[in-house]
Amino acid sequence: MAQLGGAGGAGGAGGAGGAGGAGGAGGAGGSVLGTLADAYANPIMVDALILEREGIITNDLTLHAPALPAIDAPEQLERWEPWVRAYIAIGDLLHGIVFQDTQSGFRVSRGPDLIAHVDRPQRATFAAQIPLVFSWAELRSERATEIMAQIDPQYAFWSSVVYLHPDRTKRTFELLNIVLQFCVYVEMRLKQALACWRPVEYSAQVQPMITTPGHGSFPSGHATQAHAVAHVLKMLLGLEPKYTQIVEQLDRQAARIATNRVIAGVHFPVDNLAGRMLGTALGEYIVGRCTGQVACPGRTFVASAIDSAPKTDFNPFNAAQTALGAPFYAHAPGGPIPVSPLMKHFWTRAHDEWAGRYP
Amino acid sequence: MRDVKSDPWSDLPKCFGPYLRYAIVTRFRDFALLHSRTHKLFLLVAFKRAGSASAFVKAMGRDASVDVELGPDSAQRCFATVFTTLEGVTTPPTAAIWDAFVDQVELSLPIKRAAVTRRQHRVHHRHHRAPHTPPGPVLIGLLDDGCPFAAAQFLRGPASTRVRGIWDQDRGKSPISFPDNQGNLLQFGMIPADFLYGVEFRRAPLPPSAPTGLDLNAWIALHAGSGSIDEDGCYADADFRRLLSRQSHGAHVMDVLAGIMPTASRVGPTGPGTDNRDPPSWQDGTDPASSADIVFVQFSEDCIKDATGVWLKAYIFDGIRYVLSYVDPDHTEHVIINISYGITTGPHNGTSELERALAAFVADFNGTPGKPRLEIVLPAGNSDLSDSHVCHVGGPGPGDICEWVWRLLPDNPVTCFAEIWMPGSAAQTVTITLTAPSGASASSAAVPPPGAPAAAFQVSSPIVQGTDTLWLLAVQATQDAAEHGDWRITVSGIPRGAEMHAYAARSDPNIGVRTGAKRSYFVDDAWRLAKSAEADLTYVDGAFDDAGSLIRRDGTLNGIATAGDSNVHVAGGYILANGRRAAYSSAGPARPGPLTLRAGPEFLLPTDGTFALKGLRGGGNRTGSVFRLIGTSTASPQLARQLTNPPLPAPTRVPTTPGEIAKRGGGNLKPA
Repeated sequence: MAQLGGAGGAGGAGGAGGAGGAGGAGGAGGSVLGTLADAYANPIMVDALILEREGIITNDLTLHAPALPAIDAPEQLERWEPWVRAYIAIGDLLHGIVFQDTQSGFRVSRGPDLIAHVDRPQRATFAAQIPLVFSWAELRSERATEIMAQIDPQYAFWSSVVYLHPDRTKRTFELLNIVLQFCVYVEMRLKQALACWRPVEYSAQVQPMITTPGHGSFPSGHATQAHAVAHVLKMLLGLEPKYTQIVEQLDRQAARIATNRVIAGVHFPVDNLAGRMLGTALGEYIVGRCTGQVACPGRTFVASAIDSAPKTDFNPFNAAQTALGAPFYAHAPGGPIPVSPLMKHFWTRAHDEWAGRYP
Repeated sequence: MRDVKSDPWSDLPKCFGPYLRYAIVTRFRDFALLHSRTHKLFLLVAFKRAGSASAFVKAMGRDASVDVELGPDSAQRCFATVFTTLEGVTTPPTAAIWDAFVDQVELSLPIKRAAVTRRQHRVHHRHHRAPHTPPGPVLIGLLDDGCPFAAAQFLRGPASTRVRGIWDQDRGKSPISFPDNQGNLLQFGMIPADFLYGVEFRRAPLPPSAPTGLDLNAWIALHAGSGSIDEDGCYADADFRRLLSRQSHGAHVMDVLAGIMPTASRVGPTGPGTDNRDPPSWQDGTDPASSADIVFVQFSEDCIKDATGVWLKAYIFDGIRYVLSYVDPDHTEHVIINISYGITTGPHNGTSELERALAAFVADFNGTPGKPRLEIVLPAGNSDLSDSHVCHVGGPGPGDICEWVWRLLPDNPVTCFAEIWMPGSAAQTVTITLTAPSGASASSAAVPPPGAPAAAFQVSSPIVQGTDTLWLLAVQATQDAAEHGDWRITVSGIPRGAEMHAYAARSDPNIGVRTGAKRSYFVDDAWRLAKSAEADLTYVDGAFDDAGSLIRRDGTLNGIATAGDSNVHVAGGYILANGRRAAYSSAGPARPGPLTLRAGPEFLLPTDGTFALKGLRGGGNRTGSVFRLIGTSTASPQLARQLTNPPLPAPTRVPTTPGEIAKRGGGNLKPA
């Protein structure tokens, strides 16, 4: 029952729930036997433990617990199960997060500092993008295996670029699961606020090849999560500026994961334009909470730009989109993000797994 | 010295081609229809002199009492189609007449000609146009299998197709009787009164001579409901059986050549100076091919079932003439015909009868007034890795011997053919022996006399064709009488320096055909034993080393695409991801001969996305259907499309050495 450790266990097939089991899905989580994450809570073992204790205890009352540790010491995290650490991390990351309606869209901030603001495009823009969804549908047959493999978080794909492994890089997996979980909390709140229709709700000709998930279309969760993970990996492994090939492969992979959702018929290209920005902003925020020295991202998706060019396809390698700048985006970094000692602990443990790999 | 008169292969007119001889020698056992007398032999004839066809017919009637009919437009020309009975090629008095009048003749699958009241001896002019709608300057023709004329990518308006005519050459086809919206029974389709076989379906205006009928647009309109076309019903009601399923070869080729969305819009930016991370544009084409009229010739089911292609030549000839009948002398400026057809056999030096006919067509339609410029586009072929070509040059010393294995798979329902070609001057001393796995053998020097029982396998005596000599080897279906396994071909007495080529006829089925037929192929067993282990460790540019093997990947070019004619174009394939030639794309050069020879394909066009993702996407049989077709059949329509919009783009990766030119021609062209 490792999934119980993940608050995101709700959902499942849509992928957002797939991030559930923040302690578990990466294989870094707990065992599944027994009930309520207790491996020994079955009648035989319980009875055995009762009987054995009666058989061996004495009346020696010596106690040996050491002094109580300092309050909220980060190193105490090492004592807890991974799923418990996941809950702690999410609580810490959500601390200070504010969601706000802005009339033209919705924003997520930390206090007064903007993390990301997503404007909502007009209905006519989504309608104008339906022909793009139809065109991309030609690739369904050849992308089918990727699309199915990428419904759930794309561990195998990231691992194929930077050699992650559930046993060898346990704490990196744990950190990535925290990233995914945080993205889910934020993106679902945005999807609820912006309440955009899915392609299947515009036309009966879309006929998606997988189940359309039970949350709004815009922004794309897959784009958000894939780009957040890519950003965190680049920072954690210290890939910039030297390891340009790895950076490019992570970027191309994230873009392909995002586009595959359009091919599948469950997203519009504009969902990916916004999702890439949101994911990058959330990734930057997480890195800031873990390391300090990072300004609050202050990123905006400018819907009016795509409303005046509604047939724009998602293309992060095109000059108009690559720098997350004008016309589709704005970037006004705010004040420094305060470090969380607990998040710093997670970061350090994960970072230690890469010592000497990317000097 | 062989007694020529007792040899059933050579005791025949010199002009008879190898497959006509095969049919005669086997007493037409593969052609049951001819024995029923309802069907005629269908021959493609090259007369020695243009304009002698009528005299030939008269002589056959007068001197041999044999009835011969000519196809349309035969009187003035060198090339013609001829119809006759079995007696027309077997009765002794006919032999001298054939040799007096005819240079080359080859047999195609038999045909039953229609009896129509007003038979035309000239090919009809089909270019009559509706008032106020002059045709554009470009006319596109396709000879292929599957024409989804009601699919959105070929429509000009809600129920208005760009297809001007479809000629279904199938002997089993008849016009359709169908009720219009008022319940009146109208006819859809008509038997061409000039060609007299198959059924043609035309777009308005229908010819003045035809009864009031439904044209293609009216047919579509009858299947158009509230804003959409019932494409299933549109094809099912007219018995277009080849459009039953999701895919057909013709649908893809037609879409690549003339569909509204060109390949370039589907694959995204490629080539130097572009960023291949950018998505495809998905833009509709604006080139001439996106809006040109199309004429489609549908191969008959019998022809499609035969993968060897040796029985199709007259059908191709008539198909080209059918397309050309739509030329409007006042408005058509340019005709492009894509022929998705190829053979692995033949002389491979431009002298085959069909190649000469193609050359005659482009020489005739050469851009002079009333004769718009014709360009024919052919695929290079997919036989590079098929192990279907052997080449050996005679070594020093008298009488070199060359032998190799011809592997025939079990449970094969079709006859397997192989051809061996040598220059005629070097063939006198050569003997071909074919040995079955059991040890039984047949030899070109000891051909069974006429009247001998039918054999499961045979070797012909030498057949002279122009300056060449060929031998035809045939093994019956291994499902029936013939053994399967490793047969041995032995060629002995090869003079020093003489070049010997052998070709195995392709027999694995065409797309959309389920015959269970299997491909036979050659194996150089001596090379396999001694050299192949080492060769398997050398892999360069997508191919293993084959140095020293009799099996040659070069020289596998499509057997009707070997002449160096500038208006007959040949397209090979390359992989988009890295620009390398597609591994299967056949290579030149042509075999030595008297004509201008082709060094290799003219250009390579994209035929694969990547190594793992073979083929290119193109339309299928319905509006929404898209599928990947693998092969140079997707290259030739791209080249044809580029030719409708000259000049051709500058090629990239242009080879400079003969070996590379043989494989890659003039280099890579960007997707059309």
